[in-house]
Amino acid sequence: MPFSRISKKALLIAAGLVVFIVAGTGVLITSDCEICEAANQILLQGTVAQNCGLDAQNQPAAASLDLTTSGSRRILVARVEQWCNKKSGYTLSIASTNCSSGTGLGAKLVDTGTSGEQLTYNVDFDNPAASPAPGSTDVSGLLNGACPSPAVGRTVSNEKVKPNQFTDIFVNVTGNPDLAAGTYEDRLTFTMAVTP
Amino acid sequence: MTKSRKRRWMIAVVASLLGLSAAAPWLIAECNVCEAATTILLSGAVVGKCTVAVAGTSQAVELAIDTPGTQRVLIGTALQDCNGRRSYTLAISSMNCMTAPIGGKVMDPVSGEHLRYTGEFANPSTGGSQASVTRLLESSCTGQIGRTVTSGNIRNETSQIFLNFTGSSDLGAGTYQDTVTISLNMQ
Repeated sequence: MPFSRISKKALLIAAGLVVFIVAGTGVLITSDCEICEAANQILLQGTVAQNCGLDAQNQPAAASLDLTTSGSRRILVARVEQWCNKKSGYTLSIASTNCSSGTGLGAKLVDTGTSGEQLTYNVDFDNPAASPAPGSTDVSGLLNGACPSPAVGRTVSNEKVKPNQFTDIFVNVTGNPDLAAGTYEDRLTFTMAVTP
Repeated sequence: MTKSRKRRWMIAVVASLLGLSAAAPWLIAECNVCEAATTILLSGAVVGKCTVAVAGTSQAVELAIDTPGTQRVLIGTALQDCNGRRSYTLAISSMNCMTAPIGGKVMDPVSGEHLRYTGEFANPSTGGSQASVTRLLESSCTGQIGRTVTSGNIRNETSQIFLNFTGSSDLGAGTYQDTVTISLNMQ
């Protein structure tokens, strides 16, 4: 059977169709995966450890308080250095060993001998001024006839505190010439509570 | 069109659908002068493919940000593989970049404190790539290109990604983070 014109034309059209389909498929596959990204993220992380602390430095007057001279006195007994790199801040509080013992609540110096006599006092915190360090208001009259726990003398919030910052601790006493002979003592404890 | 012509049309169409190689011998047997049909098109498509695989280093998650002084830390590698001469760029972006101040930085979400850094790419020099690209993410968050390949055939090449920063002992306690993304963009 002779190959007719129409058959030839039909064949060419069909061949063209096949070529077109093959080419079209190729383009489709290529655009399917131009960029193939696997895990393409990197986590960056560094940690800074918490470094917060305090150092109470006794002043000479703390061990030689004048208890018998009449009148009220304000005596520097300690300087408390503080540092804390946690920006959430902290509180600095004070406690007295004799606060809840002896007669009545509150800070008191108690005769270590047998007289049982005592002399009450209270405490002031003179905190660093605002500049350049983070400021805290002064707090006075701590442990005056009460023993709160904690008895907070300084509050630092939303600030970091570098070393060489001192809170001055004063005791307020009123001398009593009638005190029995003896050695009168109390012990102060300072506590820093870092805000979580 | 006669019935027989119609039938030949249908046969031709069916033959083409069955496939060119199968159709050719059948038609040759049926005709005397059929040079056109003796050429057979051979065609195959290879999938165009460029891959990038990024791996972070252990140092990336233990940056000594509170050690004073300048530091250059390898934070990851980007393995690139293309199956042809392709033009592309490798870009770096940072999740924290747009938070003021603009630029790359690790941040502590609790305190809001941050430490700035810049990105650096060390590249193989194939395809017109610059060996060292520095100061990425320094002051802009977009279009931070660490590698530009214009004509190379890149097969399994690795770019190294570094972080440059100056550690500070004044940083507050906390965990400082950022996430960087490496993207391959075809040109």
